[in-house]
Amino acid sequence: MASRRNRTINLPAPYLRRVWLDLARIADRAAYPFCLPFLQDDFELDFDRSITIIVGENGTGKSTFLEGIAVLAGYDEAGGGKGDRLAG
Amino acid sequence: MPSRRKRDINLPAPYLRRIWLDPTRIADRAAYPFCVPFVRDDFELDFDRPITIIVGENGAGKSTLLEGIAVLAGYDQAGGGKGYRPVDHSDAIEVTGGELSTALRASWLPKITNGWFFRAESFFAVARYLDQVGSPSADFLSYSHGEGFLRFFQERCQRQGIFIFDEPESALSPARQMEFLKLMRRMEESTICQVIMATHSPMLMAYPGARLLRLSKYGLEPVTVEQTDHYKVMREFCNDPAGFVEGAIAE
Repeated sequence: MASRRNRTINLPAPYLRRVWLDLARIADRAAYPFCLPFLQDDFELDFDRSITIIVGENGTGKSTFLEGIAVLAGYDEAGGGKGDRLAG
Repeated sequence: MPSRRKRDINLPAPYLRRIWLDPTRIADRAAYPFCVPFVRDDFELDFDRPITIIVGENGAGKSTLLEGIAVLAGYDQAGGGKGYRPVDHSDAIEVTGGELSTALRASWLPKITNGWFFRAESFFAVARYLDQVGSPSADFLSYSHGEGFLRFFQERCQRQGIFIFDEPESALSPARQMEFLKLMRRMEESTICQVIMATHSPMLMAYPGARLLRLSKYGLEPVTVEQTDHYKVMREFCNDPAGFVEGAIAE
């Protein structure tokens, strides 16, 4: 089992190349998390290297952003990997 | 109700004056937490000031010691205040540092059980619990990590009590740590708050007038901020961030 899931893809990182906001999918722009100031209409982020580091003051939305990426990747937003559910 | 439980004791902090190990109460010296190196037969710790700060390398046992003190004070070892049970331990199989309390003796002047045991790891469990019980101070989870932390601290830490913090800096930017220092000052000036804190943050260690102790396998010893590895390493880093990190990775 372990060997089957390892290294099935031979392309190098980064795998997630770009994330961007699709305004059409936002039901309520005034509700959290869509109300965070960093989520401008044209929000996008390109990943051009294998390591991306984000800094910012408390409250700017770093954790919210990471949670969003984590769910995109299929992880639980409370932490863990695919299929792991650390918090009930 | 709030007025009755506030300030019913007129003595100033520190309330917990001394803790020491009673080796006769240890069933198995080889089992955790009694096997942690600092837990020596002659272990003792005097609290002579309202604020005590403990530094030490990862693994020295800082969290174990704080968990032991928290249980002595009547708090859940996973964090919280008296009577709060943020984490359901019914299916927990691991032995935690709270066990240390069974072999610790304490002298209080007087015994105070108000206060809070703050752990970064369990903050969200605590906040969720407050939400569930409908606490008027709830709604912490809708704040960002750092903002929620500070709001939580400020709401909790103005009352008489003993407050235990395990690495409060873990979710605080340097700017928020400066706000936390102001909160510590307010707590100290209130004269009714005792603070026992473990930290890796040189900024928090430098709080003026605190008793700064280093925990190692040999026990506790007084240190200055400038003597800590945390301060020395950060000073080297700040002198040359790129060169410092290159050197650290190359080793």
